[in-house]
Amino acid sequence: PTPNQRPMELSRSNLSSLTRLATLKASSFSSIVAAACEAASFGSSQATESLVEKCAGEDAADVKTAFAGAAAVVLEAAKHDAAGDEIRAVLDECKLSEEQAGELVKAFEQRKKAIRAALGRTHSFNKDVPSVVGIDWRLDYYIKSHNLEQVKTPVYFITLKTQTADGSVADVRFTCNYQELQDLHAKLRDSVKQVDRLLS
Amino acid sequence: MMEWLPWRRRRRRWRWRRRGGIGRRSWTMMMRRRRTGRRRMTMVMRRRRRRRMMMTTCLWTMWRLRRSSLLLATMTMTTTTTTTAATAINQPTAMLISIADDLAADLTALLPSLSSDFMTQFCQVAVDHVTKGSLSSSRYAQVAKSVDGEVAQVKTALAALSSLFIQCAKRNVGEADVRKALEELEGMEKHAAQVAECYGRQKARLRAVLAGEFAMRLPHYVDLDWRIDVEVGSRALRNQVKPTMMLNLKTTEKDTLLQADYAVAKHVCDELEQAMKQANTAHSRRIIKYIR
Repeated sequence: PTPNQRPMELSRSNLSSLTRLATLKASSFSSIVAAACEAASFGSSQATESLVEKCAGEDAADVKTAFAGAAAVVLEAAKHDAAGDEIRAVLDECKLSEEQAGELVKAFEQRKKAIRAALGRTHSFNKDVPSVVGIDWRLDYYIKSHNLEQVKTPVYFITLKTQTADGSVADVRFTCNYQELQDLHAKLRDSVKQVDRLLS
Repeated sequence: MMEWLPWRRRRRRWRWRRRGGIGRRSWTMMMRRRRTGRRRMTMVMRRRRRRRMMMTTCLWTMWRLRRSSLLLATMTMTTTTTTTAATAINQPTAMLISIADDLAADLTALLPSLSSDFMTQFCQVAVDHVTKGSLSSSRYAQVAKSVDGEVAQVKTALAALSSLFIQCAKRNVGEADVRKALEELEGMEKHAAQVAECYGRQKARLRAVLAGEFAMRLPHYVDLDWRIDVEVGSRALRNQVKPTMMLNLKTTEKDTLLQADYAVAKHVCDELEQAMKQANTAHSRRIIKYIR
């Protein structure tokens, strides 16, 4: 993280939830941590739903508070792309033992990529703009029409398959000749090269 | 080699060889064949002999034809057919056209009586009639006054001439064929060359109009604008690099705004490359060559 960036911040209620998490049994702790990582990566909510049943000996309110604290620290760590040390520093403040902190950090590191991918997908300003998902092309040889004979030019029919954010699929169809297809290909290749240069 | 021949024949053979008769290699082959005593020729030997004969004949014919202009013409023809499929072969073929009776009647009603200046103007008006549609009544009146005819007659003659231009442009008829067809009509001999010349000048424009405005309107590609956005961070996630491409695809019908990510854009690029390669395959060239 750059020096201008603010470090990981957790609210007071989240910190108190984490101290509550520290007081729970080891088995409840593991199941809460696993459920928090699962929920943060927007996976199936099965782990969350059966959480209270799994932590049988504990108070339901305690379990829910602890779960909220664990989820908050996992999301915040994913947001800032935090290293293990930073997370341990925060967890030490909340009086988690070393083993508990280690377990949480390990579970988080395993799911970190998935959590970050899920967070990246949360919003998009371009919900109305359809995104291209595929392309179909067809090459024809135009011989004649009712208005014009002796045409004899090759013509391409291109169909771009698009999908909007709500999943509806549409087609964008157009025709072009060989030179125009070359032009289109050159422009796209240009843009792809620019992105390559950016990513490398 | 030649010890077994008598003296006189040996000398003759030597002189013949010196003059460059049968080549040395073939002489050796002949001698070898004689020595081996093989009577019948095998299939392989026959094939080799046939292939050599074919090759030598073709080369000889090529050398003979090199002098004549026929080969020059065939060479130019072969170069045009081996160009890429992108170039359209729109050579007007020589065809015999005959004008239908009713069209001929409409043409010969008014046009033979016009002078050559008015004929040029009339041809131009006919071309405008095709490209812009029906003209205003004042224009008809103006033409009728300059030609000293009735408006109805002028309209019929204009329609006939426009129809002739459209039909000829549709079939890609050459200027010479139009002139020949017009010369056959009585009264049109003096104007045939003029009309044909006007047709020849305007043919490309007429074909463009027939291909553009009166044809099926399929959305045709015009332009593609692209823009790269990189999402560096958001409220939910910091320190990310997520490139997205915004594309504005302009066609003759509408402009479509699309977005694509890197993987999809690369896939689309590869597919377009495949499409371009397909136009230059042997199969495409065969179709272009044989469909007339």
